Amino acid sequence: MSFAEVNLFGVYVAPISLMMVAAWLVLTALRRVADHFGLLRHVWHPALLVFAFYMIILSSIVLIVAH
Amino acid sequence: MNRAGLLATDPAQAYRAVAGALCSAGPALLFGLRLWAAVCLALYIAFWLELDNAYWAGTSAAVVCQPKLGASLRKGSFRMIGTVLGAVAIVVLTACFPQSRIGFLIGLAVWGAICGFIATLLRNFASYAAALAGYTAVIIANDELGATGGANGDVFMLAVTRASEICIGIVCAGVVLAGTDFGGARRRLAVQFAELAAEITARLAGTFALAGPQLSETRPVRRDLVRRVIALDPIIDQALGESSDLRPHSPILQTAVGGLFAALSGWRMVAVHLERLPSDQSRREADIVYGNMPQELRSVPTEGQAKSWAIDPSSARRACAAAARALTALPDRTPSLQLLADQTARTLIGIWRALDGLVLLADPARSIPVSGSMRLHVPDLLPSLLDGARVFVTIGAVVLFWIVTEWPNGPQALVFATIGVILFAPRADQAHATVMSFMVGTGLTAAFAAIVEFAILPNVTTFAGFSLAIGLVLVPGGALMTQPWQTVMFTAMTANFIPLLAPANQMSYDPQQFYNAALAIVAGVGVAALAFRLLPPLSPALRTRRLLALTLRDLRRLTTGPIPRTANEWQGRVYSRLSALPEQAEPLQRAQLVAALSVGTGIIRLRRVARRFDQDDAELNAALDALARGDSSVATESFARLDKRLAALPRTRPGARVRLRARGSILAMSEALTQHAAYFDSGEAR
Repeated sequence: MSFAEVNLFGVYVAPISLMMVAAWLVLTALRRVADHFGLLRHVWHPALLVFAFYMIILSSIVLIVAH
Repeated sequence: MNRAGLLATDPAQAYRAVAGALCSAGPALLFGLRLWAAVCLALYIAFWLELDNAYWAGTSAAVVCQPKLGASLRKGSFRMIGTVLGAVAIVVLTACFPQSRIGFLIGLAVWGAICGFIATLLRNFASYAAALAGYTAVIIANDELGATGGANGDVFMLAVTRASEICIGIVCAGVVLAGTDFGGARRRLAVQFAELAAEITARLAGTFALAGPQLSETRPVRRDLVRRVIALDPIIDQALGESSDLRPHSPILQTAVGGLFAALSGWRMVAVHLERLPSDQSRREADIVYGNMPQELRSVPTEGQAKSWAIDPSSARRACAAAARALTALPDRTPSLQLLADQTARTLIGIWRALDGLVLLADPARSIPVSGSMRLHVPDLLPSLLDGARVFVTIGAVVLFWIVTEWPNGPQALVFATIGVILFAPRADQAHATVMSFMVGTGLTAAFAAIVEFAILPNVTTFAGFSLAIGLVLVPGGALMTQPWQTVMFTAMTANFIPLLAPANQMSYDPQQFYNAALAIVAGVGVAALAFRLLPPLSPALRTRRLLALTLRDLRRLTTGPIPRTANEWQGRVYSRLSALPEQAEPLQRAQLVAALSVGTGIIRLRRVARRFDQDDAELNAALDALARGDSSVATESFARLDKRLAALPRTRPGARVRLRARGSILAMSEALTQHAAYFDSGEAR
């Protein structure tokens, strides 16, 4: 477990906020790939799928950091 | 001009260029200064009274300030109503669930959902008041809720304090704005009314002069005019905000807008009928009706007419009334001529009602009778229900997240998520883009607030210094709010700067606390944006289809059941749907709605006439049954048989004029049914 606060330019920020940003960056890359192949066109609710993916990525990052 | 170019020119020219640029930016900068002065005054009073969270006074002042005086004052008064309602609601909610955290939080979500639902049902600042009642309750709950989400017993004092702070902000903004700006909404509204009335009258006269197939070219003009009439609504609200003497007579202004819609509908029917007639008959009948219009209504150029009508509408009113009387008394009429005369008279009566509005704006002391009562017509319930559901889910999700993660700033995120999801819901398909813009503005403001809080304020000890420091953000932010580019982003900047800075009598410069609060605010707005993505509003195409289907359903209901005394209720309902039609609606869909309006009005008139003259015969019933079944061709045939039957009645029999008007209505309905058969035959039959 290493959920200590992170020193960001002198400000101690909660680690979850950095993980959220990291998850968003990963999601952006994945969405680019999905857009390239037109995958989101075949989905009933693209925004819901993207959100679900975001939660999966964020949870994975949290689990990786926890271990 | 580039820099080199500017330097190359002579100093006098450069001075003129700079002076010109400053002059054009002057009103915007002046508004920025007003906003800043209002916030400073509100904060000064709140600090002087030693209120708990003085920054809410400053925030209210910033939120209420609008570039238009009338809008600010109207927004202020509705904000006050919403605040009081929200404060009462949270006190009642706490009293209902004193020992139940779950009950209290579910109650809060339900209250938010109700307010979100009503905010979409109402329009303009009434909608804002409903939204405010929703999130004021959450703002007070934010202070009241403990670490685990339970309510405490201080809610009454918290509600009183928070409502007082918000009201101080509203009053300060009102005093500063009303003291430095004289407003112009009343004059602007008068000019708009006069221009629209003059243009519709001139176009109607032009239609008679044109009389032929090229009349189809007038359709885009009518569509543009419909849009302009719809746009009158917020200006009326602003004029009511500026002028207290107008408020008791506000139904006259609403009737004037209805008159403009009626005039457009009448003109449309005249144009459609003339377009369908054979050329020589069209010319002959157009000349007869045109000859009965007074010179004043047909010869003056539109612009000059508008100016003279805005100054003194009484002579134009008299001319409209005289023309309507002359047209209803035309001798030797055929059903076709009757239709033209009736619809022209209807157009002129509509113009006359619009001029009533002008008379009121010119002299509110003059008493003008209002026919009927104003009713709220709901175009479609589904978008409002969806918005209410979205608010409930959003509040529920944030509360759940906060309780599960034990996030200390959870309540603050809840406040901003609720504000975003309720306040922007009425923007329908623009809501997500607007919230995203608001979030970007909030993020930028967090950076500016951090600079002011940690780089400037520690060196400032006086209120004057503090005022100058916040002016560095508020003045440019306010000035930028007045321009059309990214208005929402700059609005977020002025509205969220003070809560992010959170000034207090004893400032604490704690970066950690600031960071957590800023994160909570940005995250809250982000959750609102996410809510609009996951539970999106209905698409414009679906909303249009629903409005058309609901109108058709109501039209079919008119064929059975009790006969309405007048067509006002039906017309009001269709006008509300015309106003609610999305900008993206096809021209054909707008035309279908207007056709349904005229068919519905015709049905009401025919059913009343049939009852009055004991003509409730098989043809009329067959036509109405066919309409209810969605079989417009059978309905048209039955109407033709009814027309023949009415024509066969001797002229000496009483009621000849009313029968002729009924035949005119039958003709108008048959034309509308033939032209839009696909629409009238669609949907489920009753």
